[in-house]
Amino acid sequence: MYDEKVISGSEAFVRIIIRRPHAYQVKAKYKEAPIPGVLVLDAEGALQGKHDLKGDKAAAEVVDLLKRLK
Amino acid sequence: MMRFFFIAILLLPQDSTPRKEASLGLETRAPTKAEAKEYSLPGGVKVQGQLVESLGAGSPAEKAGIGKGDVILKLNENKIYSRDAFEDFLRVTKPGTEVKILVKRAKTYKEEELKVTLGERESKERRISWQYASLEQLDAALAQAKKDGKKVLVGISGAET
Repeated sequence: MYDEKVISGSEAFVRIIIRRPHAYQVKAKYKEAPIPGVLVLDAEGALQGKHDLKGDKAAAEVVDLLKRLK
Repeated sequence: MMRFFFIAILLLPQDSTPRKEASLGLETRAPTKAEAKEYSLPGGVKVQGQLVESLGAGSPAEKAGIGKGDVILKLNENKIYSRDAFEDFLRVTKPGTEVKILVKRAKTYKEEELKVTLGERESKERRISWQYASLEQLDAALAQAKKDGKKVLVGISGAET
């Protein structure tokens, strides 16, 4: 199961995957960081957006987030 | 349910196009609790390290001097806490790259830093193309974003690995 729009939308970003236990350090730095989830940071590391991947419309919402913040 | 699917979007193979991936030519597993105590491995809830179960003859790992029973603690600056973290590093590093590996030796339990040139393997699984892996590479990802005039997408996995 994958959403081509999410995959293609992600290509506009520099992409990094962070797993536990490091994910908790990300949350310590960005209090609103969802685990699991996605964050968008600017090049200075400031939080621009996030999504917790919950809900039936998660994929569409993430596609929108990526379009809006790229 | 949707959440599960989306995690799959982030982490699972995306198509079956063959591609080259970096390889060390070894198999690892998480240390048991007893092994973690025996080796005095760092970590809290999650133990740091992957125990080497087997190596291919003539593999990059064997050439570098890694042995069965050694525990891999770090790949470059990436602390390894899971098999997935180990695979993430190989996925975002090009074959032919020289990598520093911090191991804790079997029997002596001494830490030793080795250098290994990554080999390559063919993967039929083309995963989402993460360019960086683990918190240790976040600064590099931010620097790349600054250079490219892009933003950074951080995938945060909560999966037990």
